[in-house]
Amino acid sequence: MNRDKLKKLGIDLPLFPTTSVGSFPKPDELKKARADFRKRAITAAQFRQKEEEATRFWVKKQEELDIDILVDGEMYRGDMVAYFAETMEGFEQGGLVRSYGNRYYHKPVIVRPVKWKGPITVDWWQFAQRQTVRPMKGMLTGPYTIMDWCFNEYYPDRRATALALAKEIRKEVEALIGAGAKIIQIDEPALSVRPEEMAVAREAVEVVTKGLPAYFVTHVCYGAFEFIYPEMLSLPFDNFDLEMSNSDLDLLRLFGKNPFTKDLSAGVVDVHSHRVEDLVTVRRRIEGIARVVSPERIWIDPDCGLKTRTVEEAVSKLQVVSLAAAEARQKWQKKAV
Amino acid sequence: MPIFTANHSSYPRIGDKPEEQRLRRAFDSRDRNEIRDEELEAVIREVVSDAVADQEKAGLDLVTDGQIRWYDPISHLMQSFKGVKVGGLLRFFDTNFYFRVPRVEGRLERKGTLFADEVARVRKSARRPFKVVLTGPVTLAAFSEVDGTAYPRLEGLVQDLTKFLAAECAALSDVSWIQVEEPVLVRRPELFPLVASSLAEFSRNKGPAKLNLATYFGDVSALYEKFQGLPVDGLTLDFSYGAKRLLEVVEKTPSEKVLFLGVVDGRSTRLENLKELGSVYEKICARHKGKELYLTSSCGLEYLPRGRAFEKLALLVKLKEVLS
Repeated sequence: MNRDKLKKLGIDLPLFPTTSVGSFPKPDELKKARADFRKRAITAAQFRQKEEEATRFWVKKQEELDIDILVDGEMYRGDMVAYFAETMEGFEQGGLVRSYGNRYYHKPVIVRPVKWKGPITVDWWQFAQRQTVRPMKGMLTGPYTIMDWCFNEYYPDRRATALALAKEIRKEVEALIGAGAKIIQIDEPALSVRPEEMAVAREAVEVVTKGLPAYFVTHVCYGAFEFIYPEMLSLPFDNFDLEMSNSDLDLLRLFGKNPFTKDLSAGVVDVHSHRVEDLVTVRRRIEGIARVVSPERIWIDPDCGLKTRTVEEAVSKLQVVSLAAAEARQKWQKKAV
Repeated sequence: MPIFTANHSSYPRIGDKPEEQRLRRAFDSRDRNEIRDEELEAVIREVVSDAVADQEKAGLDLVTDGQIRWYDPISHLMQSFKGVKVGGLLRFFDTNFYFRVPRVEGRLERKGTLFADEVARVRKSARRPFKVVLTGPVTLAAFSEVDGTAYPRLEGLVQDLTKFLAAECAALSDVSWIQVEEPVLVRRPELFPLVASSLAEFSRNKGPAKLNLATYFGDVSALYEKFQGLPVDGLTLDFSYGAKRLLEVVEKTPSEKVLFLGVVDGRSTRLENLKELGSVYEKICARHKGKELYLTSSCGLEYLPRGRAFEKLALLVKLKEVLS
C-alpha cells in the first residue's frame, strides 16, 4: 500500500482496510422527500434536512459496521454523471436512455463550453466529515467518464471534450483538498470502453491530479479489462477500485500474468444481486485475491455503489464485507507474527 | 436503382413523457408482484406495436419490432437454451449499456420457440415489409463464458447456436429480411471464417427471406472485400467509425449486394446535416451495383432518447428523397 503517501497525509490504515464505492440506497423517507420536493410540496430547506438525516444515518451505519474509510453515500445525487452535468455550465438534461435491464437514466448533452461554477461536492463532503473522525473519501466522476456518458453536440471530438472537462474537474479536486479531503476517488468506469483511447484518458486524468497532495483512488467496473490491463496501471492513481465478484475473480488471471502494482480496492460482494453473500463466500474471495495480490496492497469493499439495493441488503452486504475483512486481518497478522 | 429506408434494429422502449414509460412501470410492478405475467405481457405487446407504428409514421420502408422484448443483445437469446445460466453485467462494446454474461454450462438444448412465434405475431400488425434481427452465433458465443467440458472449442458452440437459430429462421414467414448481427468482427476479425460458415448455414435455411449481415461499433473497411464473398444478400455497415476509410473502400469497390448504409449516427444526439449527408453518400449511390440500397442508422437506436431516435428516422426518409 502506498502507506508513505497516506502517512504523509496523516492517515494510518490497518491491513485489509474496508471502504465503499460511493453510493448507498436512499431511505424511503428521502425518496418521498425527493418526490415531494419535485412537486413543490416541501421547501428546499426541508428537503436538505432529509438529505442530511440520510447522510448522518449512513455515516453512523458505516461506523457501527467498523468500515475504515467512509463515504457520504451520495444521498444528494441522482446519477453519477448527471449530478455533475446539472451543477456545471455547458450541459442540458438529455432524454432517458437504458443502461441495463429496466434501468434508465437521463443522459446529459454538452451543448456549450463546460465550466466549473463553484464547489460541487465540497459542502456535502464537509458535512459528512463533521459526523465522524474516520477519513471520508471525496467522490467525483472523472472527465473521461463524463465525456463518454454524455452526448456531445459542442466539442469537435472526444479528446477535446475530455480535456475541457478535466480542466474544470481539477478545480473541484483543488476545492476538496482545500476543504481538507485527503483521499479522493475519481470514478472512471468508462475507462475500458475504448482501449485505443487510453492515452486520452491518461492525459485527462493527469490534468485533474498532477501535483495535487491527495491519495487518489479510481473506480472502474463492468468493462473488458483484458483490453486495458496492465496499461491502465500507468494512470496517475494510487488505488484502483475494481469489481471482482461480479466476474468471479476473473481479473486474477490478468493479475497472474502481469503483477498488480498499485493498491487494490477489491469488490467482494455483488451489488446487482439481492442475495447477500455469506461469510464463507466472501472469505474465499478475499483469500483468492490475497494469493495473487500482496495483502499489504488490498482494500476490501463491494463491487460498485450499493444504491440499487434496499437499505437492509446494503447494510447486510457491508456487514459481511467488514466481518470478512476483520477475519482476514487477524489471519494475516498472525501469519506475520 | 431504388433507394429505401430501414430501421437498423432496436428502438427506444420508453420516452420522456409519463405515458411513454408504461413498460418501465410494468416491469417494476411485476418485480414487486403487483401485476401478473399476463398484464406485463399486454404492456409489452402495446409497446412493440408503438415502436412499429413510430417507424411507419416516420415513413420507413422496412421496419423491425424494435427489439423491445430483448433484455440485451446477448442474454436474450442465450437464456432461451437449457445449459445456459445468466450471470453478471458487462459493458456492451464501448457503450454505456450492459449485458448479462451467459454461462454455458452444458450442451445447448432448445427450451421452446426462440423468436418465430413472436415474429409471427408482430408481423401481423406491421403494415410495411418486416426485418427480423438477431445477434449472430459467433457474437453470442464470443460474449459467453463457456465451460470447456461442454464445448472445448468455440466452433462447437457456434455450430450448435447456428443450428438452432437457422432452424428457427426456416420457420419464419412473410419476412423480407433476416439480419444476423456479428459485431464481434470489429473486435476479433480473425473470427471471419467462423462467421462465414455460420452464415452459409443460415443461407440454406432462411426460406424466401433475404439474408443480411450487420456489423457495427467499429470500422470494417479491412473486411469489406471479404464480405463480398459471403453467402448473404445484404450487408449493413456502420459509417460512424473510421467513416473516411470505409467510404473510400465502398466507393472503390462497388458491391453487388444490397447495402444498408448506416449513415446517421445511432449513438449521437447531434442531428446530421441533410445537405452534407447527401453530398457524402451521393457517389456511393451512383456507383452501387446492387439491386437496391437502404439508408439506415449506424446501429440500433436504443442508445438515443426516443424523440431523437424518431428524428433520425425522419432524417433518413428526407435523405432518401434527396438521393433519389
